[in-house]
Amino acid sequence: MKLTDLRQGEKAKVLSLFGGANFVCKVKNMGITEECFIEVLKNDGRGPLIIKQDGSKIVIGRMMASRIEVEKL
Amino acid sequence: MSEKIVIVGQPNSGKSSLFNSLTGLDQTVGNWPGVTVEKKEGFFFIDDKKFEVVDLPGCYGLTPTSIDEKISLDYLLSSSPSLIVNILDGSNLERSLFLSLQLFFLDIPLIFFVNKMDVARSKKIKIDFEKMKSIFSCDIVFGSVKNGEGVDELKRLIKNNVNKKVCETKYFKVSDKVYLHIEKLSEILIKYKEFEKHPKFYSLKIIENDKNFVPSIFKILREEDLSKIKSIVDEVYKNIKKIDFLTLDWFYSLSRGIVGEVTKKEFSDKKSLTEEVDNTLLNRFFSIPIFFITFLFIFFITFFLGDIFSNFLTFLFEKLSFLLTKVIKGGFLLSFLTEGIVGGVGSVITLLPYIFFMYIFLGFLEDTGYMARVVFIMDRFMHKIGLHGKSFISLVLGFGCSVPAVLSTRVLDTPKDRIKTILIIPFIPCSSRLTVLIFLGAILFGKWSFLVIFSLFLLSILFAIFSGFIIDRFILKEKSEGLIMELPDYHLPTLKNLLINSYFKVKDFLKRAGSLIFIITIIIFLLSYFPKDVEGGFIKIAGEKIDFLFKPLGFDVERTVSLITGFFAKESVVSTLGVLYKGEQLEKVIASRWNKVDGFVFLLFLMIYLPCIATAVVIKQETGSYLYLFGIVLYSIVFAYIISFLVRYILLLII
Repeated sequence: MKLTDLRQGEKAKVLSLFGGANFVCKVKNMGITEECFIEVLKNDGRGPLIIKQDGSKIVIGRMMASRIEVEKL
Repeated sequence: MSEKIVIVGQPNSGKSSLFNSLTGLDQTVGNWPGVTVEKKEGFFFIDDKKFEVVDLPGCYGLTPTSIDEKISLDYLLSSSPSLIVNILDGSNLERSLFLSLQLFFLDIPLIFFVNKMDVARSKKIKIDFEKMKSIFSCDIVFGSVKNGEGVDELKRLIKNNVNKKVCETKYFKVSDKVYLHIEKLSEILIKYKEFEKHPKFYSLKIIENDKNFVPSIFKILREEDLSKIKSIVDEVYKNIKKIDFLTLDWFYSLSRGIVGEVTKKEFSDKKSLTEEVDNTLLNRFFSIPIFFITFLFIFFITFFLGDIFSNFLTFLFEKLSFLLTKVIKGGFLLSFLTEGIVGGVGSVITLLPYIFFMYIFLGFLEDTGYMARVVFIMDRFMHKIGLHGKSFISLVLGFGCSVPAVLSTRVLDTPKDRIKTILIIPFIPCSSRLTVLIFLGAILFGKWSFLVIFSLFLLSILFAIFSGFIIDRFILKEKSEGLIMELPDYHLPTLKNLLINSYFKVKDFLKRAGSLIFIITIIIFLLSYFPKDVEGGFIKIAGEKIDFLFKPLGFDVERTVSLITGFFAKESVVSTLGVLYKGEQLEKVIASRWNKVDGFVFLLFLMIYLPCIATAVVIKQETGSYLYLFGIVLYSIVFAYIISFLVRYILLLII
């Protein structure tokens, strides 16, 4: 499933990132790597999402989030 | 002999606070060559030894995705500093170590300052100092810039560490085969003078297959080395799934491993204060009203406080002019001093309080972490004009001054995003335009001026949004890639930091725009003084020549001329009018000569037409193209004319 399909409070494992080198690099620089665990702190169904990864919170636009494949835990 | 050191760290790690705490006021803010990214340099002494320090723009890692990060990397590769001071966030080591681990590959002496230990303690994160020191062979200081904790120890260690042999971490060797391959690649690369300084870094880039580096590296390599290198890379990927930027995953797994080893975190189910606050501030219903109230309040307080100081300064300048008339008996010298020098300097200086307070309050929002929330809130709306939330910050800065706003677009990731944002900024009503607006509005509309000023303000914001649409739909159709950024925890900024940062911003403004405004006022004065036999001088003659163009808008020659000088600096509209309506008090002339409709249209035109010359210069610099500059100049004049024309005739019909 896509990251955008997760609801507030749900946890998931990142499976893969779909996009060009620039997209992958940007996402990975923020700590969202394949196999890492994340928690959705905010998903209003519109606008960007806030996710928690390790100790930090990350704002990610809906479009970018929809290109991240995750597995719900 | 002084030593050159650099501060490297991720955004929000407290980098600029550390820089301020080391250098105090001994710093200069300039530009990186070729680009207008802010470059902060300073110096400090440790026991008579001078250290020059450069504060590099924040970067998450060494695989740049924005101009900021690219500049930091280029600087590290080309300048060979004697020491890197890497600042880490002790409350978020995993993320910080991601950069730190990569810095080892640069073969430059390195020292860690683990900042925000106070935050880490309050988050109940325990770091085993000895264990961490045993993993890295470099010196590590734990502390907090905010409390001054550890800063003296850092200084002592900086002195000991400059030019020391490059340190390593045992972690690379034992934990992964990737490092072995990097060493093999380095042995080949070190033979080339292009790579001899940072062979491990270039090896890393080859394994990463970073398109910014690999083609140029391969071009330099000799045939036999190239094939050796390619076979080593094949070996790396032999037994693993080929994924993009494998090394970034590798660095993250290493830093997670290290953090697991050196920190203990008490588990708590309680929500952090930041999360509690965000529940309200980012609530889907309340977030926007809260945002509007915050910004309205900031504008209000900026102008309230700015007014007090500005009025006081105006009073001083009037006194000075008065004194001059007592001392000097009439003639050119007196006019030159009172109208040219005092008028010119005065119009710049009286603007400074507004700019200073604007930066203080915007800096406050930035430092507390609220600005990052604004990005989140506005992202959805910015998408409607093909941009994302980060651009909004630049637009907000535009209310202060377009020049720093244009410069601030450097944090945007793609050139398209930058250009789009840069093209909208000139239409955001800046504080110079606002001061002219407030000054003239108050004279023309008396007690109704607040409403009129506010409606003009809204009109120009609407026009900025409209321009955004136009640019998005017809000029740069490519959609932005989207937003990704860290959301820092809330924290209370220190006054010292706010003051130092605002001080240097104001100083920078004074240097950039101030000298220009001053020179223009003097030129205008001279052009209006000579030839002596013509009332209003050359400038009035020139104004009369083009006056017919602006007759349909109801402007007189003086207003037409002031619009021309307004191109050089928007504030000089007022000082030009002052010079041209000679001999009488400006307030009286305007109140008696201008009718309200024409006055309103003039102000409207003023809000939209042309970016000022300082903005024009940075637009050219940042977009690298005259096409965009001329495009925006033409667009703004044409629309200012059409809109003012329409509004004038509609108003004349109604009234």
